[in-house]
Amino acid sequence: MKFYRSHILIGIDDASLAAGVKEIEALLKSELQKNNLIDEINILETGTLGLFGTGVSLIVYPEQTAYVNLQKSDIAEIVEEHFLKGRPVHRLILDSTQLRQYDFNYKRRIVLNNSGVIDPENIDEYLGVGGYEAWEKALTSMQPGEVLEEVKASGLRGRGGAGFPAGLKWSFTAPIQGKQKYVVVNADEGEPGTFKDRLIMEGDPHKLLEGVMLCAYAIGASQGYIYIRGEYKLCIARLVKAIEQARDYGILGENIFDSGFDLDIFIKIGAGAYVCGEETALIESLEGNRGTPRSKPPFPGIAGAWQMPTVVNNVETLANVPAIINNGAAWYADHGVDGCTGTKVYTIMGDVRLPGLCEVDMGTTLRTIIQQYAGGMKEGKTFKAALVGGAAGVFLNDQRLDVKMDYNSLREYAAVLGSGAILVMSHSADIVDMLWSVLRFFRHESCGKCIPCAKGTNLLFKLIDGIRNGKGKESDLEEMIRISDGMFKASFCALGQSPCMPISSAINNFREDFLARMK
Amino acid sequence: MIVYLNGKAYEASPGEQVLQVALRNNIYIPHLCFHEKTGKAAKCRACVVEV
Repeated sequence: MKFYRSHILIGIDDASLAAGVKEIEALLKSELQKNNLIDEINILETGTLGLFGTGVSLIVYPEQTAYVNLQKSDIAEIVEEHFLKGRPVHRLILDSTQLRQYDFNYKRRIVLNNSGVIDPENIDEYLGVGGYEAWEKALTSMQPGEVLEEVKASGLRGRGGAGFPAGLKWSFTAPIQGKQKYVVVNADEGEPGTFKDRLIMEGDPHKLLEGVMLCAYAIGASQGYIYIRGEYKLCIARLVKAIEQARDYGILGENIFDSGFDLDIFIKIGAGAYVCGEETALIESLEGNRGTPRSKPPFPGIAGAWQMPTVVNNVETLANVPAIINNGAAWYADHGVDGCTGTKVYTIMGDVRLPGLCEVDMGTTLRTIIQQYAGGMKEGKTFKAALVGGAAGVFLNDQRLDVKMDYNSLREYAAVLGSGAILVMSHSADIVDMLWSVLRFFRHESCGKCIPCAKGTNLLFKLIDGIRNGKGKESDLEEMIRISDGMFKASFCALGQSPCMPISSAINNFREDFLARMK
Repeated sequence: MIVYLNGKAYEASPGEQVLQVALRNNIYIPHLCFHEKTGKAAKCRACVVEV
């Protein structure tokens, strides 16, 4: 193997692509060439480095120097100073005190343990870190029932928002004898503020594929579909590449590893409608119809895509499965808390010093997540509220900072973990404006199939718009709670049932913000 | 199959909707999008009842 003096890890994600990372990478290559360093210094592409809001960034190993916010004009200087003369360019370095504040928590990571470490476009690197071992283990030494039992025993719960136990979901579909069964990956990720699935697919696409394979084996499906939103161009490109590589290596296809098991995975690109994150609407869209929810029962597990038994799982859920099969259910249950095992990927935004993503054990408190993994509040700002779980989430006030973040603990506060988006607001933020944009979102995304949601989201938006413009009265608040409660009871799918959570939590916790607009 | 509507027992056949049983027995539930020829659409939600 060739030996390199230094390795440069370049984080390629949507943000850095927009900042022109490809041009800078090409420039870096040509500069290294010019200085005859190309044989000594290796450039590697990887997923997100975990540094957010820093434009084009790269980390130089072994010394772990992080360069951020790079411009084309900086490259010649870096190559000459750092790589030729051995003097880091301090002007461009993320200073070491700042870098130390990042707690990436790699030790406890399950889903994102390879993200920012391996090259996501190279299957050999995934194999090199133990990739597809679980798949081989399952196919060569385990029965489908054993895989299913392992996942059941691990206590893995769906990461899409509702937290339904994944093993239980699979067990509805597994015993059905049918011509065809499907695994469908919900990669529609429409919840505002959530980008965890994007980072999983960008950083480690093979892990998702391995999860799909294991699920397909457990339930006896021979086809998998990844329903992904069309905006995720980079994810799509990387998944397409990953699937091709897996086919080339015989990891996908017919008679995989001489086990007699056939599986192929396809990608279906969605148009980004929020409602298509609902599993039956997703299936409708997958079939080529308009994306509106179906009436349940029958549930997709019995009659889903093309009326065949179908398991629909979130990206993060399936990305957990390879580790469970590799290390066993007991190892997995060691992460997280009772009744809610494993880790959760959060995306943290707002008035925190280091916004971005973190993967931590289930049951970590909101305070720890903000303080330890997001660097605390921005200077001079104090915590006012957090919107947890995206638009369909709840507003938590400072009394709730020590709530444990897992499905059961949050339910005690009538809150939900949802997709894992955490929007932190300081006292400069206004809850009325926040709720206004949440309700505008619901009005826009309501699919129009059922009356409570189609009419309700409009009524709610009119009320909040009135309050925001100073034309509201106090009774409007009660009216909003009444309408959203009616929507919760009567709506066809989870979209119409969602607005009641942000509305009631905002009004109950921050009533004075609303009253201030009525003076 | 016996179902109870407002506390009273009524006969229902498998696959039948609650609305159909109610209408057959002269219990009025407001409804718009259901029609006996097209079956349930479940869109207008006018007939939502507690079960």
